[in-house]
Amino acid sequence: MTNATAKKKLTMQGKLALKGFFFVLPALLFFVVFVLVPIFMAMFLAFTSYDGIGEITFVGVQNFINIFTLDSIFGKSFLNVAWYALFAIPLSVILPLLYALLINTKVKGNKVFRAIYYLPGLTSAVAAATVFRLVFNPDIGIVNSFLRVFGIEGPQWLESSKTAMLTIVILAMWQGIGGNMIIYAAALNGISPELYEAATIDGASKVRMFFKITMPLLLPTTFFIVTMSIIGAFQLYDQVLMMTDGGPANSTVTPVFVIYNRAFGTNSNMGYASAQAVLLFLVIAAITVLTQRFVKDRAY
Amino acid sequence: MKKLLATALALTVSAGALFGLSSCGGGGDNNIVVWCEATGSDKAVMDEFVKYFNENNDLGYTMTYKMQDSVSESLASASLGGTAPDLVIWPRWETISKKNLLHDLSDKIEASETIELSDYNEAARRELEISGGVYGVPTDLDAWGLWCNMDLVSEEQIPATWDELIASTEALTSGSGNDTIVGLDAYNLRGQFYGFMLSAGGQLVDTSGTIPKINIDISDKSSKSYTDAESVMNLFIELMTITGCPTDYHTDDKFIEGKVAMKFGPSNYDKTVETLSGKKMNMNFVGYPAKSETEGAVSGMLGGYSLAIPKSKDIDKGFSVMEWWLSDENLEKYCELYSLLPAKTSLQSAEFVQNSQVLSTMKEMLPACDVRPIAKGYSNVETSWIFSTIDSLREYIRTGSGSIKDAESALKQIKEKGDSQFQLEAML
Repeated sequence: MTNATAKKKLTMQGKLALKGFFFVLPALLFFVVFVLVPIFMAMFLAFTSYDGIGEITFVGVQNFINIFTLDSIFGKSFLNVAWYALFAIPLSVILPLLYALLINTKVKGNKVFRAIYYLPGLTSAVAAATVFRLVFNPDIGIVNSFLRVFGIEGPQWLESSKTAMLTIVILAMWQGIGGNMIIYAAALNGISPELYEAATIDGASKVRMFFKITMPLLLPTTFFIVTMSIIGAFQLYDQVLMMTDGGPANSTVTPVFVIYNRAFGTNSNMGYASAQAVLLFLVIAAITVLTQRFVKDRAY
Repeated sequence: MKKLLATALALTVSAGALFGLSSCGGGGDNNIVVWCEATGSDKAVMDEFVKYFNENNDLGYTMTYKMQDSVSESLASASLGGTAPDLVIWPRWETISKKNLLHDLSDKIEASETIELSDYNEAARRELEISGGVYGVPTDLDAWGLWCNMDLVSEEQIPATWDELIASTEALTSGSGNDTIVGLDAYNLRGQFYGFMLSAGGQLVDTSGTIPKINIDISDKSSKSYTDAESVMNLFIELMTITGCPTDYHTDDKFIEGKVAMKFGPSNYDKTVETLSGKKMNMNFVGYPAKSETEGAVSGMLGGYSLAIPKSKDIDKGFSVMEWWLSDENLEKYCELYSLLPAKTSLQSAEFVQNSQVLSTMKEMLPACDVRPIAKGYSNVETSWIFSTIDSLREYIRTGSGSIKDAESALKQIKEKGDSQFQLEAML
């Protein structure tokens, strides 16, 4: 190739690259302005005292010291999320997988069922939470009324600090199963049927095939769902606000709930709220990295 | 052609955005935008008052208003974005934490021939006078007290003391399941702890030091501060036990349905009920019962609003409207529409006050009433620890489970966690 040809080719490639860059530019600008810049601003504000309108005062690590020494509500919020995650994460894996296996079977109407299971995910979190408050009313709600038919006195649901978070888990599962089910269904369709044929020839039972072929090949998907569920657990807010407002007895306060109230509520302090947000980010990052390390060797 | 279309679309969208944003926030030269923290039931009142202003002011202004769920929350972001209103009907109790959002009106008030602060209720003024500055002028007083559904409660059953409250609650509680009628909305007692401390002659928060503290001496159970708090908590336990605190009986619906005989609420709660139900209920308003005939007093917790000017807006424009609003004639009109007791002392003898059972009751109990503790972050302390502790007590009463079982454990948590929270709030 002569120099002139090479130069011409480069210029053409350069032009193409430039065009591509301009296509990407609006999205890139949006990402920088509305995602990257706020992240860096929050990291800066975390070391300041700032009420959102007055002067920004640098306070060093005092915000973080206050979080660990004085802010028992923020600490409680992490315990609440851990309690939520204990139930929500296994259910986020098991139930969608079961549903995905069901809708992947060749039965009449499985597409209808797929739509039905996915529908709750399309409802507004606020509307769903409002309805669930009525459904789980311990005195006149449908759930306890149904249990009373069988002579069972149902729990206090949202009125008890022991069951309030579990009620929120139920709502989150009802809304979230559909999305994870679709992800699992797609992953199941990606498994080569030849593997199952070979296993059948070797005399493997369906159960053995599930545990020896399906589960291992679904591990990357499972890892993804677990990671997203952990992140979702720490970001829990809408359902808490609508169903319990953090009660009863602070049993459903979550980190985002506390951060929002600190940023915009009474005696607001954006600097302190940013420090709480940075801490939340570090916790989520740490858990995600640990989860990745745990699964990496097994999944890939 | 495609490029031309794309460019035209982009320009149209930009123009639309600019046009839309230009209509936000404060008005033009002749417009006054007011924000109020109101519920739907207040809309009719504001409509009428704004109409009255537009027809009767000689300032040359046209007023419009916007309702906010929380004026203080919305004002912070609006001030940053340049869309703050010209004037706010400001919740007084927020001033200590959010005074940076408002103009200091000290100089304007001093120079004003219309506004004289000594004309206004002293407790309401205290909420607005922070660190030497004056951040608003009170418009109304809203004392919380006890509402009695007189279709269920007889005159003799209206309680004046704690013992009478217990007796009436017991006598008026009946039925089970969906037929339950409770004598008192005991669920909302969690918000009345401060009010009952006042009725016991006590004070919940000690603001004498640099950092406020919960005024309960848990190390000395014979101290007045402890016995006052203990007696209030034991009263709550008894009331919650009698009623059983059925779910959702704290809602307005249950009161309107006649399932709740007595309920604590603000002095204009009858208006709220009328708006929600479409009809007037037969209700009576009294203060928090006194501890006994010889101890404490019939009292109430004073809430209410004020007029304030956002710091990001023109102080002169807003202040001229304030002076108009706070003149005797106009403030009386405003308070009459809202069924609130005027914060201006001279207007508390107005005809509409004398003709109203609620307002005249409020006027009588005013000397024993006080505003919320003026302490930075008190709302957070109240929500995070007082409400939650009483929630835990209620749960123990309903289910027998939980770590807060009695007054002693409840007060210990309120004191320890409350003080810690106050410390955090002071550092922010």
